[in-house]
Amino acid sequence: MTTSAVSTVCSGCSCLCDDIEQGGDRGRYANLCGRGTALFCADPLKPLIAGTEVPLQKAIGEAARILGAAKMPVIYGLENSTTEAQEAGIGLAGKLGLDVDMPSAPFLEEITGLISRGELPTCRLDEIPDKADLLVYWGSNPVHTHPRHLSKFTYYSYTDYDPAGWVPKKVKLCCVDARESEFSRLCRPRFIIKPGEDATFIRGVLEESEREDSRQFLDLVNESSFCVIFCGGGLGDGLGQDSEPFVRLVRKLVQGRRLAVVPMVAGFNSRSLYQLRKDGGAPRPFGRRMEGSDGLLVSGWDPYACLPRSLAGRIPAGNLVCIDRSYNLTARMAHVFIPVGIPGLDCAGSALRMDGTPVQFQAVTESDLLSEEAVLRSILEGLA
Amino acid sequence: MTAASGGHILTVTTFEDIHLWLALHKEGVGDAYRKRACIIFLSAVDMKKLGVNRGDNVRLTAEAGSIVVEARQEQEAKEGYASMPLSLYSNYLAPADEDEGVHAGRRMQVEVMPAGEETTPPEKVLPEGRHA
Repeated sequence: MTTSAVSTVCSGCSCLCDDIEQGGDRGRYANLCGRGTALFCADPLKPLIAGTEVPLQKAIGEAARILGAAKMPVIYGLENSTTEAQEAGIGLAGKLGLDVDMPSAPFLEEITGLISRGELPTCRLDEIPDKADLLVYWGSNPVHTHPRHLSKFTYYSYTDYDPAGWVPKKVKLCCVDARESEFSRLCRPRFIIKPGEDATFIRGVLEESEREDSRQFLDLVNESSFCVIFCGGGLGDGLGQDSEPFVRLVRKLVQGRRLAVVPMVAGFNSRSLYQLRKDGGAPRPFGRRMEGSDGLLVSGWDPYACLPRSLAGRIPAGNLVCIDRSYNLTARMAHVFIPVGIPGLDCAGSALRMDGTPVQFQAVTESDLLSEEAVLRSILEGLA
Repeated sequence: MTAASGGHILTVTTFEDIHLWLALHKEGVGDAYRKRACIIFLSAVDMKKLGVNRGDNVRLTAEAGSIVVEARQEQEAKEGYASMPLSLYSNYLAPADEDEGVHAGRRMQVEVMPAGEETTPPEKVLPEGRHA
């Protein structure tokens, strides 16, 4: 057991905060947000079949049996998995003649692809503090999705504050969103638009129309010298997953200033999966994938927490295998549940932060749990 | 979708709430989860039209199902639009659109009516067949 403080990386979200200090026993950490605390401080889990505790090898064997016997298996998730686990999952899918199905909607994957190919401007998160003078969160609420984003990487990480010590002096915090929130109330200005009105708002900026909020937004960006737009899933939803209006907007706004786009990806390692499956085509709708499926392996995601109940009913729960770091809703529904080690705590691995920066995890505690990669490779061996 | 007498059809969007996620990880679908999930945020205009105050219960009916949740007011919400946390409750109302992705910002048409009933217990919205 570790007895002195060691630094580690949190795998709670795609911020991948690298300043987590573990002081002694499991359960004592500094700098973790709520999301990281829930992950790092959870009770250890055991493998289950039909809700009954079983030895790990029996659970792995049952998972291999289900996938091997299925006529139409599906492998789903892997956005909350290390790059090594993603490669193992893709290898397992390949053995079964499948592609991995991932939960992301197409918008953020397309934006990330454009950034990776150098077709949209971007920046690293550590380039932002004290340099960017306009931060725009569009369709994302970092307080809930990436809790330390504001304090570690953007608004509150600036060093020059007003005399009262509340507000950074040389940067404006702005949001475009479809609803008011505690985060939007911090923003000056904030643009609260109707749900699904993003394309109209963008058109107003592109055409420099009389639409008041679009004109205000354009003026705001034109006054900046380094603007960063953090685009979230809400922007993709608002645009019906069509990235073209946003891309046109960025290409207009980048004239005359530095402008960067950073995708607020949902999984802690979504960016890596986007790259690994860059030739895998657009994500397929889950409802269609479940048609006729008689074996589903979900790794590193929780579809029961996200899907309409009527679609969730199509999951073949009797042949559902869930591999996860936590006992989520999908784990509670699964016929086979295999708990895995938490990257940065129980096991090592690598990932790409939301801005594309490579990050390495180290194991900082002794654990009986296998890594997700090791479990997926064991299932692959069990198929042979 | 047509509104019944006394009801209003609103466009409801969903959003992520970290407190829900924490409640789920800490104690599963229990009281803390219900408190954060079983709510709808309405505009002041719609609350007035419906004749409901903050904390009153309202019945939400969509093609996929019907539940009772607590009404809250959202200051800047536009008339005709409302929002709910992404949860088993909003999932219960969401249509089974086969082309729908698995993401937070779902939009759905929901009829909202005042309700003199208790809010829907989590057991009703949980998927069937779960283990403990």
